[in-house]
Amino acid sequence: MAKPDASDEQKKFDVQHVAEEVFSSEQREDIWALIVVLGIFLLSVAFPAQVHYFFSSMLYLF
Amino acid sequence: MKRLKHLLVPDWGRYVPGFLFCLGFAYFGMNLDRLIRNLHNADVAWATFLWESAQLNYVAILLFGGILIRNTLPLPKVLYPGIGVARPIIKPGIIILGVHYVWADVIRVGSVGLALTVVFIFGTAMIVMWWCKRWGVSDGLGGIMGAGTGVCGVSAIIATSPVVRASPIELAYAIGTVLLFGTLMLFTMPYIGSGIDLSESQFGAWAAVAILNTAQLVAAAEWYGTEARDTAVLINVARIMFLPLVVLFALWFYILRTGKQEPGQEISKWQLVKDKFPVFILGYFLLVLLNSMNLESLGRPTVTGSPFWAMNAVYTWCFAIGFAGIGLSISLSDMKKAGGRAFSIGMVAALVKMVLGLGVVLLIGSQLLRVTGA
Repeated sequence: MAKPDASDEQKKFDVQHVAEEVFSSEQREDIWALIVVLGIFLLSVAFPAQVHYFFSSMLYLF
Repeated sequence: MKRLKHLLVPDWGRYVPGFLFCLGFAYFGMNLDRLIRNLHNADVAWATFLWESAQLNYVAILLFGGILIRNTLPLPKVLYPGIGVARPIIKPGIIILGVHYVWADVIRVGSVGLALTVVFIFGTAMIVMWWCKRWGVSDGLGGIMGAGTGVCGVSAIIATSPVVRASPIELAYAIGTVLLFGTLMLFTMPYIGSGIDLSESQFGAWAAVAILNTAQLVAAAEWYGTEARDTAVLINVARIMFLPLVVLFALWFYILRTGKQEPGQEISKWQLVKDKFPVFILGYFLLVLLNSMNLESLGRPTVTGSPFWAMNAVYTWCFAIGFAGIGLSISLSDMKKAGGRAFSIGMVAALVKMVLGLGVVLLIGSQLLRVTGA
């Protein structure tokens, strides 16, 4: 049986590393999404009319 | 403190230029959408053609415009990292969309969606993995293509790759293939749907079954109409909950079942499920719950002056930034990486899912797939 060579091991490590990196970034995105929505929720509770006006009128030029 | 540190990447500054570029592009797209709509309402013929016949709303402007900019203009490389982080801004938009649903929708459309998900997601993953095994495709490629064509494309491919020990070249082929077919479906399915007079809710269900990537399916459904988007997002939530289970299935199919696990390299199944679970959908379900409770202090998206009415004005902007990110990150040269056996597997799986999915949503009809929000 052929022994796995060093480059195979390196490739395996690279794929594992990329997957871990991407998944920790996916989790980071998820947590940021929750934080952003929490911020929007709190602003909407405190200033509903202003939040609505900002996003549905003020940001538009036309 | 360590967890807080984990939220910021050390070199976050390199994402700023591209992200600002996406914000600017989204701002331009949303304003152009408003201008065309206003002129169409004022009976200007060319605007009516663009708005009604060409369906040139903000989704199409940002997707087509983004692709055009990315592939024809010499964009500075400094913008690329930031363009990549604009795409996930769709996630806060999906969470906020929770205010459009009540539990009755989740149970009715969600249970149909769950059935569709189980049949199509697990069906595709199992058939592709089994078929690859039979035809001598390596475990690495078979595993990532089974997960990638079954669940949510690139995320599923990357989640499964270490479990089935895919090689970097197999990873590149699989990602290229999934991106290629996702993009083709994103741009063709809305026109096919209009051509065969598919109702919005049926289109939403069809997109959720056939289009692999969350961002692309939200874009296609939003392009088709708001009802299509509401159905697609709900079924997609049911679908992405299955990602950890598909990874577990790949682990069992390729490693545990065949006794290939090496001593000392045991994988914790609970940890695997925990790591791959898309946490953001908890926020979505929390908003569905709050909306279903009909609290006077939070109101409804239709109740003027209420918090949910205010939140409802925000999600389109989240989508616009995300769609700007999708359009600007579609590079034709990346899609050329699709190839080898991954291409044939991806093409067969995508086409079969598209045709069967269409047949099933036509059989189910519109009523069961409609989100009423009341």
